[in-house]
Amino acid sequence: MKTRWMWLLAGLFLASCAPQVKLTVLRPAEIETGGITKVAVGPFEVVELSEALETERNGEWTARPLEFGPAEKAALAKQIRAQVIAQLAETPYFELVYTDEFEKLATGAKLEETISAAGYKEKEAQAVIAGRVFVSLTKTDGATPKKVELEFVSGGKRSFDVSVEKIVWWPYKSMRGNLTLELKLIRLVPTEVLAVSTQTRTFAQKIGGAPLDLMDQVKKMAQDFQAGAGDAEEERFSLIEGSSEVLPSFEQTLSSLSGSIATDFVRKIAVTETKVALPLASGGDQRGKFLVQAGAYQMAIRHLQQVTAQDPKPDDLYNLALAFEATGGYGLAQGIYKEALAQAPESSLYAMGLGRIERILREKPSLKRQLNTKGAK
Amino acid sequence: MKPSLSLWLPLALFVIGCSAAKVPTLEVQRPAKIALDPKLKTLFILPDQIDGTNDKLGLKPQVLLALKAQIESQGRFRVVIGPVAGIDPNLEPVGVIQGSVTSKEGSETGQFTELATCQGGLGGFAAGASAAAQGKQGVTLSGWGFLPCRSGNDSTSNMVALGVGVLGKLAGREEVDPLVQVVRVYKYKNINLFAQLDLTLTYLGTERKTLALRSDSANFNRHLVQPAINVHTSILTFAEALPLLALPVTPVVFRPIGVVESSNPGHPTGAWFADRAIVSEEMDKKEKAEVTGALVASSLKGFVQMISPHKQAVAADIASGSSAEVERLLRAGEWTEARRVLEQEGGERPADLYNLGLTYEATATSDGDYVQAQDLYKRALDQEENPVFAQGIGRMERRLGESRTLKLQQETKG
Repeated sequence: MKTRWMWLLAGLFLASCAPQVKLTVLRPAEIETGGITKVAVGPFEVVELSEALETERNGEWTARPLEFGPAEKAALAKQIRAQVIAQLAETPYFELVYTDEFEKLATGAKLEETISAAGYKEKEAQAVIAGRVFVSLTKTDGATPKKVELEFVSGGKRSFDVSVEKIVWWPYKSMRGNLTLELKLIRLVPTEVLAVSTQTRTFAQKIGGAPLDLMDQVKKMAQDFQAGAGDAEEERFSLIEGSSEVLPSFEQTLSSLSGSIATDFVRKIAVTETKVALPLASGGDQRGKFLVQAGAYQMAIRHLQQVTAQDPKPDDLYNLALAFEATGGYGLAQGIYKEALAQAPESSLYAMGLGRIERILREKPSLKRQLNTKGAK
Repeated sequence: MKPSLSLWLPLALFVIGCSAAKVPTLEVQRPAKIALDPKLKTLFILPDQIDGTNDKLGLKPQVLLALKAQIESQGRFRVVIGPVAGIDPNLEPVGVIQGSVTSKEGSETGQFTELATCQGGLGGFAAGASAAAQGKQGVTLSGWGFLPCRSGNDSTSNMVALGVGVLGKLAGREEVDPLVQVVRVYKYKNINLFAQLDLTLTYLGTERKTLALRSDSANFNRHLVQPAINVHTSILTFAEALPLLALPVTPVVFRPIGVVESSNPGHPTGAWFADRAIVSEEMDKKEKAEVTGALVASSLKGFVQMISPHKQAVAADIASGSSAEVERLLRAGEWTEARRVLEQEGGERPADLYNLGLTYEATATSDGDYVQAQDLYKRALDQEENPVFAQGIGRMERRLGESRTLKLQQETKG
C-alpha cells in the first residue's frame, strides 16, 4: 500500500516536470442563446444565509447561529454579483450593459414581473442575468483526543529504541459549508428564460488537530498536488502573504467559490477562452522540442519542417503538429498528427493530438457562427 | 511519526529537479488587454460612484489615489478624481471609473498541540539552530539530555537534520544520535486581511458604453505564535515505569493507562481550552499600512492592465559560461555595462551570445532590439542545444507579436 502511494507521488512529481506547452483555445457556448449580444446583470438575491459556530468543551457541544441583517445580505449579493460580471467580461462574446435599472430590483421575481409588465422595448440590453444565492457555513472549535507514540532513542553505538504511548488533546478549528448559486439568463423581448444553471460548491478546511500519519500525509500531498496541477492561471485572486494555519475569511471563500460557479455558467452561455497544457513528445529532435516548449512556434515550425523533410520521425512530426496547433493551423496539424499516428498506431499521445484537432474542427462552425452572428466584442 | 527518509527524499528531488535559478526580472512593455478608442485620453474616477458600504478597513481613499497613480504611471491616460468637468464628452470622449470596495479584517486566538523531535548530535543541533532562526514556536529543551526540540512540521529543519545525518553516514559515522519526542502546546493568533475591488470603465462620448469590468481580490493571512511549552515526553516518570518493571519481558511499546492527559499545564485542572493567553503580538501600524497598500495595489493591477499598456516583470535565466564579471553585472541588472563588457570581450561562446541578447531584450526600446536579441539567441542555439536559449527565442516571438497592438495603443500617448 505504502509503496503504491510512493509510486503515485513519484509519478505525479515526474509528470509535473514533464515538458508541456500551454495553449489558449476558444470554445463555443454550450447553449445557443439566439442572437443575444448585449447583456445586463440584474439583481442577485440572497435567499438563504446561515452561519453557525459550534464549540466543544469537555465533550459538551454548543451551537450558536449567527444573524445577518439586510445590509450584510445586500453586500454579500453585490460581492457575488461582481464575480459573475467579472467572468462575463472575460469573454469575447457579450457586450455587458452597465445599468442600475435591473440591479435595483430586489429579487428575481420582481425582475421578471417588471420585464413582463413593461412590455420591454429593446434598448440597451437584450437580456438580463439574475441570480439567487444560498449560503450555509459552520465553524467548529474543538479538540480530539488521540493516542500518539513518542519515540525514545538512547543514542551512541549501543543505542536502544522504545516508544511510549500518550493520549493527548489536539485542539482544532474548522470551517465547512456550501454555496449554491442559481443563475438565469432571461431574454427581454419576448420574455424567455434562455439558460438556467444551479450549481453548488462545497468547501472544508481545518487547522490544527492531530498529526496525520505517514500514509495520510502522502495522500494529502497527492490530493493537494492534483488539485493544483489542473488549475488554470488565476490572476483575479492574489495572496500577499499566506499561511496554511489560517482559515480563510468568509468573504474570501465566497469570492473564490462564486467565481468558480460563474466560470461554469459563462462557459454555458458564451464563447470562452480556455488554457490547456499539452504534452510534448519526449523523443525526437532536441532543438525542435526546446523551441516548441519555449513557445517559439514560428522558428520551431521552420526547423521541424526541415528535420521531418529529411527524416520524418513520429515524435518530430507530433511536435511539429503541436506547433501548428498552437498557431491555429489546425488543418496542417491534423494531417501531420495523422502521419505520426500512421507510423506509430499504438501511441496514445499522437491519437490524443488527432482527437483534439477533430474536436476543434467539429466545434469550428458553431464557434464561427456564434462569433459572427452574435457580434463578438 | 518522525520525519522519514521515504517522505523527504522525493520532496527534495522534486524541489531540486523542478527549480531553476532565475535572474533579476526584466521589465517589458505589454499592451492593454482591451482595445480602446485612441481619442480617449482622460479618465474620471467618480468618488461618489465608488461604493464603500462594505469597506470595513476604510481603504476607499487609498484606492482612489492608488488607482490614479497606477494608471498615470503607464503614460496612456490623464486621470482626474472627481466628477466630469472641463470637457464636453460630445467633443472629446472621456472614461468614467465606478465600482465598489469590499474589505475586512479578522483575527482569532487559540491553542494548538504539536509533536516535536528533540535530537542530539550534529544533525539535531543544526536542525535546532535552523528552527531557532525561523522563530515560530521556537526551540525547547528535552528533560532528558537537554536536547533541542523542534516542531515536527518544520520541514526546513527536518531537511537540515536529514542532510547532516546522510553526510555523517557517508563519512562513516556509525553512532546513532539520541532522540526524544515530546508533545508541546503553543498559543496562536491568526490575522486575516481581505480586499476586493470591483471596477468598471464606462465610455462617454457620442455613445455611452461599458468598456471594462473587472473584479479582483487580495488576501493577507498571518499565523502568529508564542513559544511552545513541552507537556508530554517519551521519558516515563517513575510512577509510570514502576509497574512495568514487574513485567518479565520489557515490551518495546510502553502502554500507560489510557487517561487523556492534561495539555494545558498552566491551568489548575489542565483543561486544554481554559486560560487561553491572548497572543500579545499585533501588527504594528506601519506594517499594517504596508499590507493594506499591497492589498490595494495587487487588487488594482488587473484593472489597470486591462485598460492601459503597462510594464510587466518577466523572469529570464542567465546563461552560465560567460565571465564572472559579466554574470555579476547581469545579476545586478547593469545591462548597459554588461553589454559593453561582452562586446569588448567579443566572445562567441553560446553563453556570451545569449547573455548579450539578454542585454538587448532588457533594454529594448524598439522592435529592432527584439530582432537583435532574437538573432543572438538563435546563434547561441545554433551552437548549443540549450532550452534557455530556446526560451529567449520564444519570448522574442511573443514580444514581436504583441508589438503591433502595443504600437496602436501607444500612438495615443501624449
